[in-house]
Amino acid sequence: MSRPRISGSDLRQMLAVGTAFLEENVEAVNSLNVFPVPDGDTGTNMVLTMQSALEEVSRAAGNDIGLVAYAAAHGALMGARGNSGVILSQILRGIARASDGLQSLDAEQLAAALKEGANTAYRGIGRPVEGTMLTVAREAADAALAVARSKRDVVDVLRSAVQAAEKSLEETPDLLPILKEAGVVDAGGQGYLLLLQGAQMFITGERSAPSVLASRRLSPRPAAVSSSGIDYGYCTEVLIRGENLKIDELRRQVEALGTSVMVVGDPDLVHLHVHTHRPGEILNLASALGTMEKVKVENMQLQHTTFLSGRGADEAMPVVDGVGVVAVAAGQGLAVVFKDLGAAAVVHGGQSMNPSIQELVHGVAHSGFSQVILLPNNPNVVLTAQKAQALARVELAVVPTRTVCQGIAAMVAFNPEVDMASNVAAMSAAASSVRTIELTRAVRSTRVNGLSIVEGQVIGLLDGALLQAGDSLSEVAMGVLEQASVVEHEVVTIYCGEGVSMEDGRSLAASIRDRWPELQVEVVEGGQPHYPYIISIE
Amino acid sequence: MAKVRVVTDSTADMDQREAERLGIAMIPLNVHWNGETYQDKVEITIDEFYRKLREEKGVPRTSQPPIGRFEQLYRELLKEADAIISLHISSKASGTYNAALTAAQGIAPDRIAVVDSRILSYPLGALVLRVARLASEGGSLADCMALAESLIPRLRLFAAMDTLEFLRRGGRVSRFQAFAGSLLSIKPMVYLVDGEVLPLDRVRTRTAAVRRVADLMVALGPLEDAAVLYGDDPAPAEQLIAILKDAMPGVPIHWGRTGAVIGTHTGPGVFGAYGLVRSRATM
Repeated sequence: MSRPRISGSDLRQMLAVGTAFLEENVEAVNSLNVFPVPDGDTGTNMVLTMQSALEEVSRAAGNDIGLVAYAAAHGALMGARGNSGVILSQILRGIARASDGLQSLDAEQLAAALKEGANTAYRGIGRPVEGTMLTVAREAADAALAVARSKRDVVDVLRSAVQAAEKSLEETPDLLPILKEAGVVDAGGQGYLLLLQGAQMFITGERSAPSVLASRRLSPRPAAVSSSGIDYGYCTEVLIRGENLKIDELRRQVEALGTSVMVVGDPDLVHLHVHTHRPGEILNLASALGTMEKVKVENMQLQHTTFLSGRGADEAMPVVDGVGVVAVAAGQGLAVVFKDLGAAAVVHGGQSMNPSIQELVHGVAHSGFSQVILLPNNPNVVLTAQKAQALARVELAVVPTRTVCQGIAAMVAFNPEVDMASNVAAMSAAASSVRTIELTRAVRSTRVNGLSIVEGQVIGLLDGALLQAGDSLSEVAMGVLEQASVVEHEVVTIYCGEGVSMEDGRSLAASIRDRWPELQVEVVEGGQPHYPYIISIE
Repeated sequence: MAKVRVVTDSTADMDQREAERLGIAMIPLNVHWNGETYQDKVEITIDEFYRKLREEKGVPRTSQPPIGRFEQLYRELLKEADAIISLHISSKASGTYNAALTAAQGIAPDRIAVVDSRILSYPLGALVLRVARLASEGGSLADCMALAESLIPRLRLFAAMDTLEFLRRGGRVSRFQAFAGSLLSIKPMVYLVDGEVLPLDRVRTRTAAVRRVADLMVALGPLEDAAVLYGDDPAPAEQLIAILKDAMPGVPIHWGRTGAVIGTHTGPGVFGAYGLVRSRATM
């Protein structure tokens, strides 16, 4: 078959089929994560990002390819989750830029668009790493350009792009040693290949088998993130005045009704915040407990649309002159710690621990300050946070904290009496002076850092490096503490997450004090998912 | 020859023997504890105060000396002296200065100069000792006031506490949003700005506090005089003085203890540093 051009309606379908194909194979992509940790899944992040793109595309009227590409890029940007989501959104942005003003693309223009996509992605990343989605996108685009010169057919261009992407993906372990050691190809590159294959499938009409390389046996994961897409729902906030309000119980009830839950306050005044599809039920709950002051229910879908279209400076958010901090936290206890130390707002990372750019911008706008410092507290959120800077309406600075411990250290160094620049400097210094230990259970067997890991084992990470594997939480904890030369430090803080009780935490603290009597050890309820213990060393 | 007597209050931390030698008169603030009242540094020594702080329950409180005390002392001193210079803890930290001023105005405003030091503790003591030396060498009231005016803007004080607890008990935390936090152990740091004690920083480890104070002292530039201070535990001050001796050779660095009035608000683990910035005239 031959096809000289692709139109806007073609692009709509290519994106849709590409996303569907990726979604069908999302678990395979997720399984390629080098670190066998249960969060930050590349496949899921890319699917969610594409679904946001598709939503925006569905709202775009008209079939000029420039228009459709722009909508896709815009939607992807707002919904971008994790590093892979951000890179994908940059690729789409490049494609959109190359398609600007055009009704359709011929073979050369398509190849040029793929190349512009790759270039934009490289530019958008501070430190591009080869052996990732970037490499695959670049090599696919270069192959497309080479073919487009001689052939005038879109089908040929896509085929050569897909072939080059497959080869490039195969070679990623040669470029990135951690991939080689784990025996996998790069997850982001795999996701991108699947998108290209899906797009090709639409154009040729042929259904192909997914080229999923280094496939592995997958075991069902306990808390799989639903890839049913972004449901915006209503942002609901209520101030409840009552007597003897049972905050924990209320929080449990609210958690069953939505996400981004925050229930804080005193027994006579509670501030409730939730993203829910059932705002009526929330209000019923609240009114049964006391009198409701300041009720706010916002249609976030509408907000999202309005925001994207650039129309309407949103609902006049009351904004105070001064510096506030917004922190990303997964875990109610951690959210309370940040607020206790003076954070203006907390954005909940959710089960996948990766909020989208839109969610970050929303959180920043809700902080109520004219100058905001954002703490991502997760390496997979740092990039989305930096992208949020361009979109936020208020002055936004990011202190690129990679762990919750770094975020809390930064929070401690925050001084509201001092200007933004001084705060950013002090907070960055504080963040880099703390060491983080994370304990979790391996979601699959693999090899990392010379260690053989069996699925289900406890694994211990120090500042993101996987150092120990073992059978018991406390054994691995003590081992990593030893490797971190904890004896040279002063304060150890244990944040207890899901799966352990405060009692367990206190018992671990006692063991630590026994072994190293000079240390000050504290135990705090963190409530974080996936990581039973997060431990800071200062 | 005109004779000027020097008066201060018990918040001035200084070498007692030197103070006595120079004839400095000290009016004590009061420490109230578990129903008892002690005159600071007269009826309770620094060591006794910190022992009680560590071992006993209850929250100590301090109060300024009554105006009558000043009146009594001023009248007494003016029998022999020609003039008095009365130097006190920052008016923003205590009502003591105002009490002294009221007393002076009621007795002999032209012979009693009451000075708001805009500082407290060891730097106040350093100020008082220098003025007293000048007075003992025959300095006039005008000379003494000029010296005080030259020194006051150059006095610096940084302090770090072991815990927020005492600040909180003293009701000073809610004022400072910078000191929010009760779930994690926090070590607050303060400094004096225009006579006011303001939040400087929050840290979690003593090492970080020592390093911060050291950096701040070095950032002051050339110093004429310096000291490291502590309440009850000299350890952090010892770490600090080692760093400073290395960082500023040639600058005299003394040791000082912070007294009860300060200790009430900071707790026994307080430590800090004082610096007298070189004046441009002597550079």
